[in-house]
Amino acid sequence: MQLKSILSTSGLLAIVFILGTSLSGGKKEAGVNDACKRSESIQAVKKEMVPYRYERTTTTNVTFKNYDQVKEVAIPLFFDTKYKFVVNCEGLPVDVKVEVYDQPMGMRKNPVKIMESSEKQFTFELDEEYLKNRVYINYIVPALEDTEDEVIQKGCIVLASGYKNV
Amino acid sequence: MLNSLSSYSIAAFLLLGMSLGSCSSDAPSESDASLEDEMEVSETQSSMDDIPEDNGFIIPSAFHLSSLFQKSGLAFSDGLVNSPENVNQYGTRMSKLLNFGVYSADLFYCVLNDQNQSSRKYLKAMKQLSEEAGMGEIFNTKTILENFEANIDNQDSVLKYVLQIQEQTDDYIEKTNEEHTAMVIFTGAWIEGMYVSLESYSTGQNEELGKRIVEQTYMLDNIIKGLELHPGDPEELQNLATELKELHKSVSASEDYPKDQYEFHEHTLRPEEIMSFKNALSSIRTKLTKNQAE
Repeated sequence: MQLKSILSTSGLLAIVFILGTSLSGGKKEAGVNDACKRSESIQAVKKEMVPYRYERTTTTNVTFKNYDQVKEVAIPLFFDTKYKFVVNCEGLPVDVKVEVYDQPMGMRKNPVKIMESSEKQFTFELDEEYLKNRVYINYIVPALEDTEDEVIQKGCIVLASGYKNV
Repeated sequence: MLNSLSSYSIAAFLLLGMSLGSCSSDAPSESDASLEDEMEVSETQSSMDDIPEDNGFIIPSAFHLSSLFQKSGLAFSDGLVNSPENVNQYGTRMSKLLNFGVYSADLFYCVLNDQNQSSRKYLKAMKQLSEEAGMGEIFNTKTILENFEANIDNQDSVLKYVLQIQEQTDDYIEKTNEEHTAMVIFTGAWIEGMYVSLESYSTGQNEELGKRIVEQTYMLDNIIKGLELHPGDPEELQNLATELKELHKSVSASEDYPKDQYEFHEHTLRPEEIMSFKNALSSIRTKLTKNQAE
């Protein structure tokens, strides 16, 4: 009899606990929607590298905010070498614009915009006529409005570099 | 008695439930905070007007550097490389990572010069250091080592397996968000590559090699920043960064040193300036490989 009473009290307590939590306006734990498909993107960029010697891939993680962001990657270059770069943006929930410059952001004096693209994957090459020892890739990440369910939107951009110095 | 206990319990649970609810809505929970931390660590994001120059610097591969030096006339000399027998000297994680980089440069130097028996020893030393530094996953794929051994007389295959190891290292670093570790490894490889090239330059003063050496000094600024930003400020890395700063200061003080940091400069310094640079770098390399930096 006493055991039955304890069990029913426990059941009641559980219901009250749940109600207490929800009535007090408890927030759902923030979810994350990560669109990054790193392995697939890496496979895609490597395939595109031929006939250059594949050097490496670099993944830039992106968390969308309610304001615009620019992420910059700087790549060192060496003379007498031809380079090929493949940028893959398939692991992002929305499109981004990619701009390539000869100088770093915030320090530009008469910069040269080498190219820009909003494609999911694109390629560009630099040969011996490019007389700079760095190239700067800017990922222009647009703002995303906050949603009611407060899901954080994430993704990644995969960049592959390759070279020819034969 | 039980009834009274139950009413107290109900009130207590109700309070607890409400307080937990209000905690989650008003203040960030520990899990929220750690989520935010993770984002800050894993990203290099900034707002439009707040971008440091070296945000997201992409480190070249040690193999690329080795092949550039070789193309510029770097000849093979057995006595220049760090002996794989030194592998047990490195006690701290930082010295293991730095010398993992040193051995990777030596490995590429051997592979590019068809020294495949020596390459095998470097591969084993790198495997040992990677395990001791907590990166054993890189060599977990037994097939790489087995295939390397089985094809040791085939230059193309050896190169393929060695590059596979570099790829696995990159993969491990990206998966574990250890980009700062990549810079430590690269620093070791860069110092060793430069040391071997400078030693070779000192015997013949090959002008092409001299240009390549000067070109590589443009990397110093990024290397120093990378070491200074390493989480936890390990003393070894801070000391190394200080020494590299001095090195950078001395080489860039030359009148012939290019002042425009963005332009390609196929100019070399005067031989005596390169030799002075060589002496300073050799001293840093000796500390690193003889483990005098700990």
